[in-house]
Amino acid sequence: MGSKKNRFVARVLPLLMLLIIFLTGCSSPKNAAQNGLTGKTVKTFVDGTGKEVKISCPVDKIVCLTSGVSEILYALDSADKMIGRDSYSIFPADLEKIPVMAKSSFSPNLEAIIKSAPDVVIADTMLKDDLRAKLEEAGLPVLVYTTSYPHETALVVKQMGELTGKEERAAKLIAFSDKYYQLIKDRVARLPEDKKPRIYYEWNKPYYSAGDKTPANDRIALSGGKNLAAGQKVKYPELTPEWLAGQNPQIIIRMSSREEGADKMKALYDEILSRPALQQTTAVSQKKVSIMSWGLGTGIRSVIGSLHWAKWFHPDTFSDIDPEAAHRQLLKDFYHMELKGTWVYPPAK
Amino acid sequence: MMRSSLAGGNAPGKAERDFYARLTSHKILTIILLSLALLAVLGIALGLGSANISWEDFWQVFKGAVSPAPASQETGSKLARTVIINLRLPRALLATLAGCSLAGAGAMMQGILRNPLADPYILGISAGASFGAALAVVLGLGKLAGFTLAQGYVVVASAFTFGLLATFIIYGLASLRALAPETLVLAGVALGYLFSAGVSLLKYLSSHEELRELTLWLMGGLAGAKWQSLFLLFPVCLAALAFLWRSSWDLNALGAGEEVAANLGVNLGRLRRNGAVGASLLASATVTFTGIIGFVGLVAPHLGRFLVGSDHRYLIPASCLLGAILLLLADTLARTVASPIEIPVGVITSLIGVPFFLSLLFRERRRWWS
Repeated sequence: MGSKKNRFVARVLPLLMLLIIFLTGCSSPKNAAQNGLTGKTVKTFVDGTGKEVKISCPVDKIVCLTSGVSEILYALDSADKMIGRDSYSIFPADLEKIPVMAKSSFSPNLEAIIKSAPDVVIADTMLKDDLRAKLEEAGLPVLVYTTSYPHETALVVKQMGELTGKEERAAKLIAFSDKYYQLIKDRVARLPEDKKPRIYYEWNKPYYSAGDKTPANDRIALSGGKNLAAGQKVKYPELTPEWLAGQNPQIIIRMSSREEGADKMKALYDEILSRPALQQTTAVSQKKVSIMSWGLGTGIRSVIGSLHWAKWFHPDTFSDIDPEAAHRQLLKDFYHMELKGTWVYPPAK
Repeated sequence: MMRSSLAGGNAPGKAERDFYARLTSHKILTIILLSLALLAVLGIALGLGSANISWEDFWQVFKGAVSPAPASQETGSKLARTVIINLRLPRALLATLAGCSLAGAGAMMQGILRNPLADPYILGISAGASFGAALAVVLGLGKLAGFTLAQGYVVVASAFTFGLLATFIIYGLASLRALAPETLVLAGVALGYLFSAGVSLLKYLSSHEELRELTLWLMGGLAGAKWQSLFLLFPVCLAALAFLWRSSWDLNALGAGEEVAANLGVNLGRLRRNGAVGASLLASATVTFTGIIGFVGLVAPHLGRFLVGSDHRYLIPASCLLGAILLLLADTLARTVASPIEIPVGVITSLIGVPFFLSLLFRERRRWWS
């Protein structure tokens, strides 16, 4: 019977196909690439994930896939060493000239990165461990950081200084932030507990807040406020309006995204003031509602954000402090830029 | 074997036999051609990418990888070898395997439910599997980063459990009342919503580190494909496909109607149970490594039916090959079309699949089963 034979062929063929494909895959050699060392010092970095990475410094070519570190590299006058970036690394605008090699750390174009042969790849924690392993297999050192907390930002600045041979400038940048953080800490430490206002912090959506162990929670405490959402079981809880009304927040802070300008910030402000559930609260009835851009929420400029918050929470204690002037100086000293745009709403009087 | 001679008739005339043999050889030829097409697409997928490797380098690397000589260090440039062997090859093989499995699962579901709209994605099986895997991640049953084989199988098992649960709910609904094919799809969509709600809840409740892993995992995709995952996925899929393929004759009989199949001695209950288990296993194991990729399981079997007809002995392998080709092409497009930025592969499969699905909805379903 011919059909029987055919049946056999039809049965075996696909299996054979799969087998062949699979076996050719298995026979691939493991790649162990090694960069040639050219008289540079090899330094060991412990990155934000606690991983030890050896890199010969100073590096010449950097691919940076996280905006928080890109702005630090720029501040250290090392943007010229960046040969690749992610699509969100657009502050300062000069960075836009650098080729994009990833939408974000989540989706790096491994081929483009490996082909450009950088001395180091820098990413944030959205980089999958598998992808990190792929880059390392190709012989590229990978550093992963987050810049949500001030201490993380300081660590990144210090390590970027060592990486690029700009230790002195890095120390200056850290000193700039430290000076203001210390000032806030010292003054807040002298305040009695009952003088600290109850803060409702809202991030990207109405009634979405941040609980314990979040950067926002720490920053509220730093600037001398009491986070109403602290102690919630969920890290980023959605609060019910009536519970919030019952807690009677004295100050409301709402974050707006980096791209949003003055118009959008004003719209957010008006929307919060018009929420029926919050009408009776101290914050709304006294119009103590402030909108702040994410640009001042993380990374280098979060110290400016903290200065604003401290002044909002305790206007008398911080009456001599001008956050906008500090912002202007930071931009001038480290970014060679003038202060432009709206970063907080309503603007300080 | 026994059934094959039963269905084939006891003493066909010579002319009939010749006709049948011609038909059969035509189908086998199609499958061979599809296999060759798959190899060609695999070649294209390995050759294209943002690193712009020249075909000459590509050929050197290919020769180096295929030849048994250990001196492969010198073949091709280092960049070409890294990119092709470490980046493109595992990814292309994962796409092949995933496309194959999803299409096989789709063909099986369409067969046992006698429903042209069946597909692991549409029926909510993928969503169920995704919930199962997410649960395993949050409970810390298997750390998805840094797979060892055992941990990987734990996540697959959890995905499989919930994928199977979804399948049996769908199957139960289908057998409880004689539901119209479209209604079954609605039930699948509802199940899908239920399981994604479950995933949202998991996200909401999980801690920072779990959340990171869960989010990364849920975003899915074929990038970062590893040999370990292939080693894990390959035997599972091969076994499940072989298992399903064995029931080809029963499926053929079922295609002629439940009563016909029962009269021919097909154990319908067992066929459906086995088919559901096999299809769920295929879909769940795939989802564990690639995240949810829609519509491959719908489109491939229909193309297969168009090329080789509805004889499942040929339909299942043809669908698998087509599924592999489809997903491989989709992924290659996803990698290259907006280079250097990648677009999610699910976007491409949906762009192909949704119009296809809609056209099926509006066509009489009879046509596909004649």
